[in-house]
Amino acid sequence: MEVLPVDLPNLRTSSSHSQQGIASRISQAHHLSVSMQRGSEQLLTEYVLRQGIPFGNADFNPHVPDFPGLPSPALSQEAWKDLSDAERLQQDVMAFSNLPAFLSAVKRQQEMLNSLASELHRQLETAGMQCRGMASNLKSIMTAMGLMPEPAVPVEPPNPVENFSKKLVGYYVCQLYREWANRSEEDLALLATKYPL
Amino acid sequence: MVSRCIWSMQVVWTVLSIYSFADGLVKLCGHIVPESPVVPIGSNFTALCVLSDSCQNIPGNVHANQIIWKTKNKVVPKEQYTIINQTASLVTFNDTSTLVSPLTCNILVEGSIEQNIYGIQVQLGLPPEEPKNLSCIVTQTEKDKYALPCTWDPGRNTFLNTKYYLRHKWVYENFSDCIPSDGNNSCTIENAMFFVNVDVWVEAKNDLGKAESEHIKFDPSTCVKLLPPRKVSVNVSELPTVLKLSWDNRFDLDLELEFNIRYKVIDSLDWLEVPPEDIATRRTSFILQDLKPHTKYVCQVRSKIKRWAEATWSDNCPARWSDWSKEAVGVTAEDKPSKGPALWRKIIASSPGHRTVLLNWKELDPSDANGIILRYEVNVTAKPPFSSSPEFFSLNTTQLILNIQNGTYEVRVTAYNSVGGSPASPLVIPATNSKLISTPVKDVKASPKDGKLWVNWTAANDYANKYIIEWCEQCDSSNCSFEWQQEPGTAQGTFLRGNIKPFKCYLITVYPLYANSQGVGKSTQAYLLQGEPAKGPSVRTKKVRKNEAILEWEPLSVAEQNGFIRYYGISYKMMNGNETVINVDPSTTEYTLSSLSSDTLYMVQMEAVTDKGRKRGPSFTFTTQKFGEGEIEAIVVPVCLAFLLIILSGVLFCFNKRDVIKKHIWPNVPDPSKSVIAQWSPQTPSKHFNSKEQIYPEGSFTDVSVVEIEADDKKSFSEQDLKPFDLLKKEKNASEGHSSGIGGSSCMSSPRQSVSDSDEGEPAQNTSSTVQYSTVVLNGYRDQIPSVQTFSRSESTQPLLDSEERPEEQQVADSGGSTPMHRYFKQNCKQEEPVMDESHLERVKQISPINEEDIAGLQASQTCGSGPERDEQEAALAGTFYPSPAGQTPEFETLGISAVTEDEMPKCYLPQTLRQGGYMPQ
Repeated sequence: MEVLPVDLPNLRTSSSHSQQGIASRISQAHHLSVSMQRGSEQLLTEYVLRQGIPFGNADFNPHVPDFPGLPSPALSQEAWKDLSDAERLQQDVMAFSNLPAFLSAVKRQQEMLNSLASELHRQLETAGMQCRGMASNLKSIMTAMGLMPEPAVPVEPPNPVENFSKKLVGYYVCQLYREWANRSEEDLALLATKYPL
Repeated sequence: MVSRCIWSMQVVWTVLSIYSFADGLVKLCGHIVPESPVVPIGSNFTALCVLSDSCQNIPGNVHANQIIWKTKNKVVPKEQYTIINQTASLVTFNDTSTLVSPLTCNILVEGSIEQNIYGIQVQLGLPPEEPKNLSCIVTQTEKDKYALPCTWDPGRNTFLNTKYYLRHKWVYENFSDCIPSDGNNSCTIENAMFFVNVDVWVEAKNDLGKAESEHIKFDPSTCVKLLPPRKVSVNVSELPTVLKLSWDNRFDLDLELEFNIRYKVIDSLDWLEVPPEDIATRRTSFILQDLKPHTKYVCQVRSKIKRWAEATWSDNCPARWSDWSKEAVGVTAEDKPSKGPALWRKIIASSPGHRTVLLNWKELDPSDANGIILRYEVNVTAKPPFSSSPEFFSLNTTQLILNIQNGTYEVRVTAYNSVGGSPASPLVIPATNSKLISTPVKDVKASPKDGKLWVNWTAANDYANKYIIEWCEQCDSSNCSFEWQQEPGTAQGTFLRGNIKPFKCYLITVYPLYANSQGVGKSTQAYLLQGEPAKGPSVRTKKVRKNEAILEWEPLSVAEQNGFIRYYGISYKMMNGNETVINVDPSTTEYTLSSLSSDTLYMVQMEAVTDKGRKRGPSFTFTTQKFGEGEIEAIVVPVCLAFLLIILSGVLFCFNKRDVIKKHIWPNVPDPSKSVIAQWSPQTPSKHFNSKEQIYPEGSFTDVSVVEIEADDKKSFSEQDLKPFDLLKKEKNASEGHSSGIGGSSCMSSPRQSVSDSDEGEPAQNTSSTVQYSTVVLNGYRDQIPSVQTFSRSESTQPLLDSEERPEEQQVADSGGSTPMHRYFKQNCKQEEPVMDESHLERVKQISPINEEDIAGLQASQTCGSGPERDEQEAALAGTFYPSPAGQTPEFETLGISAVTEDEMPKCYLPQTLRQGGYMPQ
């Protein structure tokens, strides 16, 4: 992933948006990330609940792979600290721009596999919407900061044939969604400290 | 003929042409451009009719100048036509108000027949206005679901089919439009997403254009109307002024909430709110403080997301409070009563040295009772000089009857609930005529206000602790059941708290209560609502005179007044006269109508007048008197006096002229004793008479007969001269006729002669004018012959005997002989009483005139009882005297016969008038 260094003081001077406006947008995005944290937890719980064994087992903890366009957000603390704000924002924008497609695919699969799990369907729908909202917010922040978000890369969610595989892919997507929700919350919390209200 | 045939053919062709046009079987003759125009109202409109080649088939040469434009059935004026060429005609409308669909293009063919070529429908309308006042709100429909309903003002009516689209988007994301399903001014976007700015606007579109409202941008999380908190409950605390309110929020997002809490006493209308700053943080409970003990409270709570975002985001969609939660009810714990009960007294009975007092106190208001009152304690203490030990009473009623002496007492009442007692309520009961009864209030007034009775007064001083307002329904305080209420010492007026009825008179008394005394009550009267009197007074006359009448009436009772009687109106009139009305004070009960006409019928009626109406009583009629008082007396008395004066004058005149009158009417008769013709023989000493009284005892005479024989000079005595004398003798005879009657009947002589004989007071002239003869026949009772010899005496005052002419002998007879003789007659009557009853006496009186008439016969016969007439008269008398038993008649006849026919009657003197020279003894 390409890292774009950002010079915040230059951004501030060059930005057409006021510091207060950026801070408000960061705060707004941070509130959304917190809401997505809670929502992603509930979604994962609901998803596991609806998929049956072995998803509900305590020892069920498969390794979550990366998907094209949806990398794992996991980083070491040092690597994360080495990232610039722009890098973090861009990674978040990319993840949340692509997540809706993955979540939408999972929803379609779950509508077939668990047609009666309406709450799961609603949460998947809400999660996709929140991701799109987060992407929009992050882009607005970047724009306000004078950064140019990279255009989204079209992704193609996996579409396994086996039902278990479908469930498993869905599980991975829900896991990734939760991780990116957590990651964005941390990124935005850090950024909020730099742009206080 | 040929032209007519051509005309007919053209008609047929036209019909066929129209038919063909309708069925589309024939190619159109022309068309109009534009085909389906939508024309803005108020704009210009131009249409072009183009004839096609097919129209060449129409007989005759068709030219565009033959085109006629019509709007519906109205021909468009030629001035609006423009001929473009041979086949095109243009019509222009500068005013769309005349443009009425359908607009048709027609051809006038030969024969003045119009042929329709084409027609179009023109839609008139307006382009949409910019929607205004777009407003959105986020409503919580479920715990995690939020909707975004928006409303706007669509603007003017476009008269066209106009569609509205509610559009929203994020900065980098567009969403599908929300199309109103009902109406054109609202739509609801489902699944509003928080923490993302959304751009919302409305687009209106029709055939004439489109318009877009102003965009509003906001974060939906800033304008959420949450669902109200649920599971609201109130928990009772041990403290009497505290309640704990709890609830559940239905909002899980990481945003601050703020709350409103309101509460009230359950029966109150006014809510109290907890200060917002005390509940400006997210919470699920709150402790309400400073509440009233033992009071039921109602509580509600509502919530709102605390403003967190940038102002520009939230201004377009301001935050809103949720609805109030359901009511939660809780009751605070009890506390000691906060004040003592209102206390008052009534003196039921009072006698020298003792009084019976009814103590009465009000139940505490719940706000003061602070719990359920379990009992009252009453402490009665006598003030010096009475020094009895205090008395305590514990009871659960609100009144107590005390028998106390005529001193000053202090009563204290304390109310107790489960927690404790109230402050004591003191009341001083002053002794009668005590100095503790002090100044009253001033200017007590009462008037209706807001449907209640308002009483106000002016305090006499500033020391009153409280006031007692006492009132009763009837103004008559004797049978009034008093109610009362207590007001604080600062009060100057109050509403009466009770069942105050309209049309009832209330007597209201205000008593000021001081620390150690009470003021004198000051009263007033008032009505809550006045009406017209129930009836009018019944008027009647108390006294009627010639020109005035005193009216009286019973004043209306309080129950009948229905208001304050302002005056009584007295209306009176003659039967055909004008009515006169006089208003009199309501305190009066009588009135004098003056200046009335005499002997006239009047009708009078009274009415009672209040502030709200009047009512007439029954009418009363009376007639004034013809004469006034004393008028009759003034006429009669003078007349009587005049008559009396005339009589007196006549009498005086007669008295003064008596000599003349006597000379003419009653001349003097010469005294026969002085006559030289008269000779009296024999000389009978007058002593014989006296000796007779001594010789014969009383009762020895059974019968006396008096015979009056007129003197020779009969001519000198006319009948008129005799009449007054006869009348006088009749009166005398009424009292003394018993004996003479019998005697008269036996001797056929008038008994009046005996009376006149005994009337010794007669003037000498009278006695001398009449010559009287008497024969006294002494008979025994019922043929019993007395043992002694009897004497006969003439009772005539005429000087029959020489001795009688002697003055000295006359004196003897007057002084001594008259009384025995009277007694003699009396005894004679006693002897007759067993025989004669009262009726006999009456009959004697009745028959006496007969005897007088008979006198003439007797005088003519000069015999006593001889002749047939005498027999007949005696028989008649006997029949009259003894009409019933026939057996007595012979006895009476025997008596009569014996009195007359007895040969040995030398004692009987007969008148000797036939012989000159006087009487001869027989």
